[in-house]
Amino acid sequence: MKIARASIVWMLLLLALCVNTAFAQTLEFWGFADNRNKWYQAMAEEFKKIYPNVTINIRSFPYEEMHNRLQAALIAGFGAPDIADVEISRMGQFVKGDQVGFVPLNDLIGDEINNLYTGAATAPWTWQENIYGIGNELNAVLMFYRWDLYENAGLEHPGTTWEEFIENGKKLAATGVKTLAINDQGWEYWWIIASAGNGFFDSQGAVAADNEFGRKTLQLLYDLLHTHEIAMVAPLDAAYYGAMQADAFAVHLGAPWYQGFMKDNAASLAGKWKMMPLPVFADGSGAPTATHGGTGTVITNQSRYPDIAWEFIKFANLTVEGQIAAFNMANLFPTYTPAWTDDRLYRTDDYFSGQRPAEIISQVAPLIPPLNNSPYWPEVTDAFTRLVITPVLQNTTTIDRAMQDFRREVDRIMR
Amino acid sequence: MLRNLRLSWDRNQRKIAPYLFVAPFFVLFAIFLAYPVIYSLVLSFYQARGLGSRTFVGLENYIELFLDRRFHKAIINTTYYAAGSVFLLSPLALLLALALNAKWLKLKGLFRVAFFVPVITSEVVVALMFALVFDQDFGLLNAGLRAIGLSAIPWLRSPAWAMPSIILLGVWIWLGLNALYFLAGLQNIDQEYYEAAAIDGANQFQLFRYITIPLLKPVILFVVIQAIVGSYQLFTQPWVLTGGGPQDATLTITMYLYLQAFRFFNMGYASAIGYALVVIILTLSLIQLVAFGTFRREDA
Repeated sequence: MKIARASIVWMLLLLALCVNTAFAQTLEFWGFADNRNKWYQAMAEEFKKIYPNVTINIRSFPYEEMHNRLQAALIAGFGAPDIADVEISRMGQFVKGDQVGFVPLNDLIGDEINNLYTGAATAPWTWQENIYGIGNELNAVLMFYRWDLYENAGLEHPGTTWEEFIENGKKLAATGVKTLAINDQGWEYWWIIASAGNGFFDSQGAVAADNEFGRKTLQLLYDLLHTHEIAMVAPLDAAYYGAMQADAFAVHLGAPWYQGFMKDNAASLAGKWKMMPLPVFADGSGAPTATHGGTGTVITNQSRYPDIAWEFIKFANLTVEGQIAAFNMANLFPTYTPAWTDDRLYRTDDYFSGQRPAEIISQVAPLIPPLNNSPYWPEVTDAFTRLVITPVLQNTTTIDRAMQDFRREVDRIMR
Repeated sequence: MLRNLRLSWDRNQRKIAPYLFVAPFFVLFAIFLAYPVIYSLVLSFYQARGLGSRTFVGLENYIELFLDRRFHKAIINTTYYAAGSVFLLSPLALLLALALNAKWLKLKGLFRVAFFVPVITSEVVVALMFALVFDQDFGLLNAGLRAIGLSAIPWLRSPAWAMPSIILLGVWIWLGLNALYFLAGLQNIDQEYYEAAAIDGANQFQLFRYITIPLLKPVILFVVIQAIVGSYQLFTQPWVLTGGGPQDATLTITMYLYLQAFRFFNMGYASAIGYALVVIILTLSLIQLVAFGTFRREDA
């Protein structure tokens, strides 16, 4: 009798366990950016209201660690999360082999592709026509400038052409303020300007950084620093914001996510900034914006629930409410175009003297030059920094010679 | 069946139990150390780029490494840092230990703790802090140089100054620990030797040269080997401060390994770098041991 009763209890427990595992589904999400993780956490809580049996476990890691763990788990064949955020400059390495550890999303996205600004939403996470990730950040670069410092020099703004930018820079320099702080250990400013001439790679995946426009951009940066002396070498890390707050320079070129960095690190400059599109060259070449940075969300091929993972990604990235939440919580301007007509996007920003960032971003967004990714992105950008940017901007070699060295290294890397 | 098993266990329990007790170490060692060590050796003979298939390439990775100018640069840089550790850090640590051991010094405990604190501070935190110290325009070091009328030095920005900056940081971090080793060695030297030599008329330098140094030889050997092995594994400080730049001036062997493995997803080549590093450290340690007479037979 006793044994029979115990058996019934055990069977009931087993049944409860089976029912529970059949309905409750827990999906792992790995992210590295605090602002995005907070937003995804909020989205996961909203998602649970619609799918009560689904739990999205948002786990946060430092940048390096997360990408390294993801890579290790994909090599091992187990241990990867269902969903992960992959930063734009790390995507290349994940499409390097003859297999990709992510689920192609083309069929899942379907007609929604027409509602996406694909240059930022899918292009950086696409390889050989397979879309492996969705990016929800329209990182249209703008020129942030200190209107008070320009006003002090009798000027209204830095200029709409690079030539005017230089002339105004000289007048600004007469008041003891440099125009730009250029990093001689990184390629960001070169890339922002040169992306109109393909940037690092052309659409066929060939390296284009040493083309005519790439050289013209490099010459511009060199001239700003050495010929016209209207730019300074950017202090590294936290000291950059120290120089910014000390009125050492008046312009920063950056994507919308950079606005959050400025508010956090240079809060004392609230109301002293304005923004406008980037200058172009007087001959009409160049682009008034570029895409800089970004993060895409992928589903790994180890996921047991790729359909639910996609439902969650869609819920967060392909809905107006999800994208307005991302804008409010993380300063992320949506790549999902139906959100562009939502009034909540067009709020004023006191840090930028009451301007409406969304107005300017949506105005320049169609002009963003396409970004072409490559499995060799990490190696090529690394080579460009050490062989071109640093020696040219530090005036230890010529542009021609640096570009020759770079081409030789590229041939070695990509052979 | 179960009964037989039980009986067999009862009979052999005493024999088996010790193996069970030590098993956790060997199981963990096999999974987390032996297996990766052997597998990475195998991998170093393959071209393994990205996910998916890999191709056997024999010694090609090692040949490429032999001809790779970036790898040569990494070896030179790492050796430069190791030389800084041996010829700057170690003598300074010995001097500090002598000072901390001196009878006339007050507040010995305070100094010993103060010099040891950098060792227990996170290397990443230290490196981030020193990014500010080394800053060309706003840094503490250059503020000091300007105050005494010297011009500012582009510490982390110039290829010539970047590695000396990393060495300076290394000295700041490891000085205390190395001084502690020397201090332990100094306190083990019997005072009677000094007294006897003093009676024979030896001066302070002779005491140091003919008593302290010979009796400290095992500690010196230990400190130098530690410094060399540690130097050849240098990664965190230059990674945080310069990322290997400018122009590879602070690229170390381990950093190049990391770049190949985790940035360029080139696992075969990265494994070959790992084994090249093993050979370098092993060779240097053997040279050290031979030079210090460790293999010399006492009765010879």
